[in-house]
Amino acid sequence: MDFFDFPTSSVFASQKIFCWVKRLSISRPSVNNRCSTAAFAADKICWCVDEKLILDSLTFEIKSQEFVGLIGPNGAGKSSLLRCLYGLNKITSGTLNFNGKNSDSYSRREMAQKIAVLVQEPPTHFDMNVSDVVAMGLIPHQPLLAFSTEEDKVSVENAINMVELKDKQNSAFNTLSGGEKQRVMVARAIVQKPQVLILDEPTNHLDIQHQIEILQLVKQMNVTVVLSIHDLNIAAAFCDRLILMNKGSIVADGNCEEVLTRKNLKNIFQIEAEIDQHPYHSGQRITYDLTGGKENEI
Amino acid sequence: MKRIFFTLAILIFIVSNKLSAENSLSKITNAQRIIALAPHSVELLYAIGAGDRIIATTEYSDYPKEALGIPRIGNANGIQIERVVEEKPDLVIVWEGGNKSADVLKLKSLGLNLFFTKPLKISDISQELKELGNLTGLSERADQVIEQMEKKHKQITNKYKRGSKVKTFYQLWHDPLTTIGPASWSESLLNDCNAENIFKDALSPYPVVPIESVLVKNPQVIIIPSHSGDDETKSKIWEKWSEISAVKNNHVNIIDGDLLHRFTPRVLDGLQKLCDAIDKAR
Amino acid sequence: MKSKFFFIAIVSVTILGISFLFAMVMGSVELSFGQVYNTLFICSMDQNTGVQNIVAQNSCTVDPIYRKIIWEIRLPRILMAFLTGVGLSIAGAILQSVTRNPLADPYLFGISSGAALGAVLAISVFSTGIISVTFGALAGGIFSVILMLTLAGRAALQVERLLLSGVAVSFMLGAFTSLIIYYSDPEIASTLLFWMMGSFTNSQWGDLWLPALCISIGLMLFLIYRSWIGAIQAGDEGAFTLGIPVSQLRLIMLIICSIITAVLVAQVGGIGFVGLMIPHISRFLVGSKLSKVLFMCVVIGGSFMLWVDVIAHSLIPNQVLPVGIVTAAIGSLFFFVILKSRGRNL
Repeated sequence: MDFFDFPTSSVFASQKIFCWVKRLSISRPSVNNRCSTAAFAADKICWCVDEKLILDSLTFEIKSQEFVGLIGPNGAGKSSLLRCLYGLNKITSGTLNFNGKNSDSYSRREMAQKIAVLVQEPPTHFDMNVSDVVAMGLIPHQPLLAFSTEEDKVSVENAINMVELKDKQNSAFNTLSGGEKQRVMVARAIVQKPQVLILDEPTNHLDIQHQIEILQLVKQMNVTVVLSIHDLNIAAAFCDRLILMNKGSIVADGNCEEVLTRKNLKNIFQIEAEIDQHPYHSGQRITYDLTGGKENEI
Repeated sequence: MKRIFFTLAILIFIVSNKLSAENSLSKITNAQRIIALAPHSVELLYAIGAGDRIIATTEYSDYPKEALGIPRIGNANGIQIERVVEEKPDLVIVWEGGNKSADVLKLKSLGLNLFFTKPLKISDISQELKELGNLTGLSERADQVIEQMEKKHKQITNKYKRGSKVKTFYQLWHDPLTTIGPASWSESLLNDCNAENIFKDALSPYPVVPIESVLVKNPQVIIIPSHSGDDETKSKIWEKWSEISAVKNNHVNIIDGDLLHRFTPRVLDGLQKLCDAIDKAR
Repeated sequence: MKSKFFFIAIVSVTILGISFLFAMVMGSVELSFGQVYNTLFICSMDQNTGVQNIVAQNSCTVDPIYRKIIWEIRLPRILMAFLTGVGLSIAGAILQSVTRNPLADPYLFGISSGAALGAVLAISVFSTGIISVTFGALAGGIFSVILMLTLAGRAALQVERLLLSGVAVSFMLGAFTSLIIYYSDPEIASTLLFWMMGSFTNSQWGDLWLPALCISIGLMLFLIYRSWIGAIQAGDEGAFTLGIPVSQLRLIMLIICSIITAVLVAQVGGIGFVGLMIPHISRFLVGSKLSKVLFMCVVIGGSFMLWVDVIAHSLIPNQVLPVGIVTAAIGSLFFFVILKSRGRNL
């Protein structure tokens, strides 16, 4: 932080003031009738941490059963936004509604019963066996003193079958490959029987086969999905809608054609690309131009 | 061949060192500036009339009363070696086992005239008195004290020689339950009273023993030497164990520890008390 | 898989039973199995007067002194050893799960240093005996936990900060303790040093109820929350998304483990390595599922401590070794073995 750099320091200072003001202002509940079918409805939400403004006045809606992709460069605030959605971050100001009610009015347990989350990297030194890990998904629905019922066991088995890990059921979690680990986490999410599935860059460390495999599994689950992803082609293939973020704000919000434009790619990601219809599915195909843009001047 | 030569060289080195040490002490006949690093040595020096020659001592040198005025330069945890050197003593009395061993080594290396005290039985006190008499030029007085002591000592031991040995438990401390092992000073006192230390076969000088063993060995007398503080707690631990002969017959005795543990002529008073207590149980 | 667990469980429980038997028989005074059996089941003794039940008089052939040894000395000591092994092991297992740190140990948080300081103050400063060693140690242990939480402040909710705070408290209180011992009478110093190294020697029947109560309640709570604690092993964020209040759970578990440890240390002094080793051994045998691990910790931890007590009383004839020395020796061997085996796996 360079104190002699006026422009930056003034932004910094103004952020600080902004955060203070937002924290002190009383947010009124949003009166938004069309939100009754929306899974999430966000109205000007901000999130500050250590007096730094990370998310700036975001407004968007995610409808039930939509498959929404969150894209944007590193540091855009995608993970932060996801954490606001499932409650790990408390928003500084603005309103966030989940299923029509303010997010704050849900207890953590109620949120867990409705929202399942897949994080970037599952723990590595974890040596419980696979079926125990998958069984963790039952926790939000089970009272503490309960023992596993037949129904629970069946649910766990089905989930393991769905991700095709039946033969590894009793292996230790940390003996699995990266792709298998993520499949276990998907199985756990399945057992959790959520309405919403949030995924924070789940395919980062996977090879292409496993990346597609995981997302196909997720698509099969038929729930509302909010997915943060880097690979734009895969995003185009799977997502109904895209939200493009940059520097803490939403730059574009709409279906794939609207968001994935050459202009957006150039401005936000600083890349040149050719966008056309994908030959195998109904989405777009993005071809990156690595020659420096000389070939494709409009 | 080389090995024999090497061993021989080392032997010669050791012997010559020992000889030189003894030689250096034998040269002293009239030590005037004495540093006594043990309370009992202070008492002995006063007994032979050399008390005013003590220029420094350690804590707890409290007998006779005049000794309280002698400057202190240390305790069991450490001696101020620099002050020892500064005082330029003719003689330093060192207590092996009572002074910190690192200090003892340091003093040895400094080339001072050291007299080592480590009495293990009452007759050793006579021996030390004699040597101190020689070192201070007060042999006559020393001999007088020795004579008195030995007479009294013989009186006491003869009185209790008859009869059977009394099985005794000597409780040094109650928590943990510590007693005395073989060949220790306290055991020699017990032997003088015609008593038997029930832990005379122990493997260390101050063994920590389980109460079970005391129960099974069933001593006739329990002796608790006390220096200060809570005598009640020390004897209270025996209240529940009325199976022990000593407890049943009320032979649990608390005796002044200073009298028993100081290697001076006063120990005879303590010995008297000790033997009386033991004799009651015979 | 289930049958493997049952097999291991049965073997361990058998070993526990055998350990109890041997602990009763071995020690500074060798007793026979017959004497032990007679004392426990045939002779009945009126504790106050030592007079035996007239009805059983004919069949009771055991000397009153041996009977007293068994009832008043051996049995309470063995039960205290068992409770200590169980308590320290389950506290260690839960701490390791909840901090995701395989080196977590009940002593990590400075509890034993606090208890030692409390004991030292009770003996040397308040030497008129107003405050008993046990009470002082308990107060000291609890004080050290409060100090640790206060020092960590808001960062107490983060594991690493909490561990650091605990280590800092441990060193600080240890320094004070050493200072007081240095200036104490040699006799008091020897009492304190022996206490700090751990011993079951002075255990009475009346000392058992508090540790037993705390351990039972603690174990019950651990079992109730076992699924939550297990989920924390999968990462804080993952546990949060399952609806678990991670920081609060961690704090509560920490406090429970601290109370168990403080109560035990207050009675028996400083005994290390048990809380570190036994959970590792348990996990090695039955895997990471918490209910199984806790069961094995109870059985193996209890047996282990019984044997340690036997060793402390039998190694040198007619003498008692501090228990902490025995566990430290075994602990170092244990780590050496682990080091060697890890090296081979590379």
